[in-house]
Formats: sequence, structure tokens, C-alpha cells
Amino acid sequence: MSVTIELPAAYRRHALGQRQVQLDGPGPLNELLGQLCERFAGLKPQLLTEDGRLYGSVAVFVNGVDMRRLEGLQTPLRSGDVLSLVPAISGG
Amino acid sequence: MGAPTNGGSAAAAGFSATELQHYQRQLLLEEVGLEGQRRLKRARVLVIGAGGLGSPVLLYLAAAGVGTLGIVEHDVVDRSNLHRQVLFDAASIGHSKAVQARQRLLALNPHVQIDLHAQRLDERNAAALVAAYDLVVDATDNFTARYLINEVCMRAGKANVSASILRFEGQLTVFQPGLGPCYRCLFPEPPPAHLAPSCAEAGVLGALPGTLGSLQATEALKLLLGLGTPLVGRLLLFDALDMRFQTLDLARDPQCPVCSHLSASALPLPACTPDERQVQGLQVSTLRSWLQDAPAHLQPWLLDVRREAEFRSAHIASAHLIPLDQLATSVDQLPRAATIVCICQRGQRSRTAAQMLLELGFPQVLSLEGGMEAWNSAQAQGESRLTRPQACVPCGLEEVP
Repeated sequence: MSVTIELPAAYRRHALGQRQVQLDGPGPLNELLGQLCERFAGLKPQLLTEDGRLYGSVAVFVNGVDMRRLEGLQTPLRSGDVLSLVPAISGG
Repeated sequence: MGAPTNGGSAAAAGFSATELQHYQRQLLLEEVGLEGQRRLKRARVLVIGAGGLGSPVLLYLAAAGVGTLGIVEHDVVDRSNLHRQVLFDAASIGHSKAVQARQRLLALNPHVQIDLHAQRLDERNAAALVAAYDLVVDATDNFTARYLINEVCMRAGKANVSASILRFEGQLTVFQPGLGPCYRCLFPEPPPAHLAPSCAEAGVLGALPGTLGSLQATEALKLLLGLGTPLVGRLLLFDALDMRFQTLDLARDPQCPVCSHLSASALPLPACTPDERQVQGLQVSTLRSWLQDAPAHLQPWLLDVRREAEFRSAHIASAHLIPLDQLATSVDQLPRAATIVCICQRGQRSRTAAQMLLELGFPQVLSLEGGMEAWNSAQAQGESRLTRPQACVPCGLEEVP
């Protein structure tokens, strides 16, 4: 029973260079994010504010769909689901 | 500019013969044609940022014939720009990017107009700049500009083709007011400074903005031409390291302070002019009767626009071969007094050819419905009189027994 989290290049150096990370599911989306930050401490300041809130500059998608179309951070994740993290970038 | 070969009729369509040659491969696309080319010529696109992304965007939009391009860029060319900002070369270093860009773009296509706005985009000038254009391309390099462009475009009801890049990755989407989410729906707040490195700090692969900028230009052209499905409500991610594209479905934020109150806005299609006439089709049976019964001076002039190899295989005896990709530069060979019937294999290319001729001012032009396949089918049923020529002038072939 696992959920796949896809990491953009900017986050991979905080996750031993991995593009995909497998986490134990099922569970709500925010729990999986917490699990991710526990396993890779360097990711926590990339994703969460000091008070534990997800940065508004990070978009989260479940199986390619914006989590806000689902149940947001409470979206239940099942085995086989794919979570994509997309940070805002501004280069041009 | 070269001397026009058919100045009068070309001018009637709003293009010189040189322009028709320039856009020839694009005019061949049935989805573009002369009507689409005129849409592009009437279009006004504001490109904000003439750097890594802006370079390919501007080059492709100018090359495609977008009539007016506005460039917002206050910077000067630095040697460190040259590995990705393909508008410039070593001789440009130290000069205004906007001025250098205009020189390069006019050298590429002197038939477009380049308006320079050699200033930094800010809250005082943004609304007026955006209001003067049909479509905005966000090719900037900072979050302040991106949020400002988003707000101004949403207020003005203007689509924003937005791309961004960093290191080996890129993002692309189209923000269409009221139809999809806006930039603030996607990213409600900018990242803190320590999480927002620029390309100057984090680096960028030189070809990356080439990929994303080309896609950005493609989306802009699609919007202007009304083609395909625009990338509204979808985010395209490109990962150069894995050479992977991924498309994600975005959501509007019902609480978005910028766009939640907006209803759907119109796509930025430049309007058609009344003289863009519709092509009329001609049935095989009608053409057959016409060829059989009409006196010589009322016979139609048959224009076969297929490739030579197709023409060689079989064609109507009195047809003249001018392949579609040569038509724009061969219109002087066509009779203006006769009714011209355009023919191809299935009736698609002939419609493009007929549309082109109508736009060029030819008074009577028809397209054979179903093309040679319909003609051959009718022949198989004993209705046609498909023949091979005694000596085909256009292709020089001798009669085949």
C-alpha cells in the first residue's frame, strides 16, 4: 500500500536525488506530506511555513488534478495514487 | 522587399507577393490560410520580457506575421545572456535589449511592426500597456511582474500566455479571464525570497527557454487563429533531465481576490472582415455536365493543386497543374475572366486554394467537392470521362495508351 510522490528537480537534492518517493498510504494528503517531511528533513522548509502551513507558492496535485478540486489537504489518498508537488518558479 | 508579381490582387488581399512567399508554408495549412494570416496581421501581442523566453517568442511571432508586437524590456544585453537569449549576439552587448530585438525582428520579417516600451513594467504603466494589445505573453523573470501582469490582464479581460523556467524545468499555461484559474489561483502567494532563486542564482540550461518559449509562441498563435484547445486550466510541466512533459488540471479558487468575480471573457480572436468570402463547392456531376455541354468560351478553367506525382497518376484532361505550395507565386498564370474550378485529391486542398484565390480578388472560384476521388468514383459508375491528356503541357508527359 503506497502513494507515489513526484518531486520537481528543485526538491530532489533534499530527497537523495530521487524523482519519485514511495510513502505508506492510505491517509489524508496532509498526513502524507508530514510523512514526507519527516523522512526528508530538508524538504520541510521548502514546503511548510514555520507554523506548519503549506506555502501558497506550492501547488499540489493528486493524479494530475489540483487538490483544490478535491478535498484540499484533507483529500484521502489511496494506494497507487500519485502526488505531484509544483513550486512556483519565475525565471524567464 | 522583392518586386510584387501580382501587385494588384495581392494588395487586395492585404499582402504583398513577398509576404505571400514568406508565409507560404503557413498558408498551406488549411487551418490558417489567408484568413488566418490576416488575423495574425491584424493581431497585436504584448511580449513582456525579451530575455530567454521572450527571444523565441518574439522570433516566432514575428516570423509568423503577427502584425504588431509590443516589447516591454528595460535591460541591456550582457554577455551572460548569450547562451540562451537568441535574439542577441556578441555585438549586442551593452546595448538596449528592446532596440536590439527590434533590429533583429525587422531583419527577420520587415512586414511586421515592432513597438518598443523600453521601461520596467510597474503599477503605473501596466494597465495602459496591456489595454493596447489583444494578447499578452508573460516572459518575465520575477514574481512581482508575474502577479502584476496577472492582475492587469484579469481586469482587462486579456489572455496571458505565461511560462517560467529554472535550471532544467519549465512551466507553461494560459490564463484566460473567467474561463480558467488565474496565476493567483495557482499560486496564492509568492515564495519567500530564500525559496525563489532566479536563473542568475540557480542557473538555467540554455536550450530550456528555447523549448518553453517555442511552446509559448505556439499557444499564442493558436489563440490568435482560434485553433485547437488552448492550455487554459491546464499546467504543462517540462522536465529536461527526464525529457518528460506532464499536464496537470488546475482549479479556480472560488475565493481568489483577483478573478473569482469574473465571468468568461472572449478569446482574443481578431475579427473577420466582411470581404472574407466563403468558398462554394461544385459537385462532380455538375462539373461533368459543364465540361460536356458548355461552349468553349464558357468552359471552366480547371486548376489542379495536387502534387505533381498525384497529377501524373491521373487527372482531368483539361486541368492545369499548379501545386498548392506554388500557387501564391503563380497567380499571374490564372485567367481572371474565367470561372476557376480548384481540384485536389479529396477536396481539402482545393478549398484552401479557392479561398486564397477569392482573397486575391478572383471573381469566380469553385472547389470540386470530394476531389479526384469523387471524380474517379463517378467514373467507375460510368458517369465520368476521366482521360489522360494527349500531351500534358504542365507536366510534359506523353499520352499513355
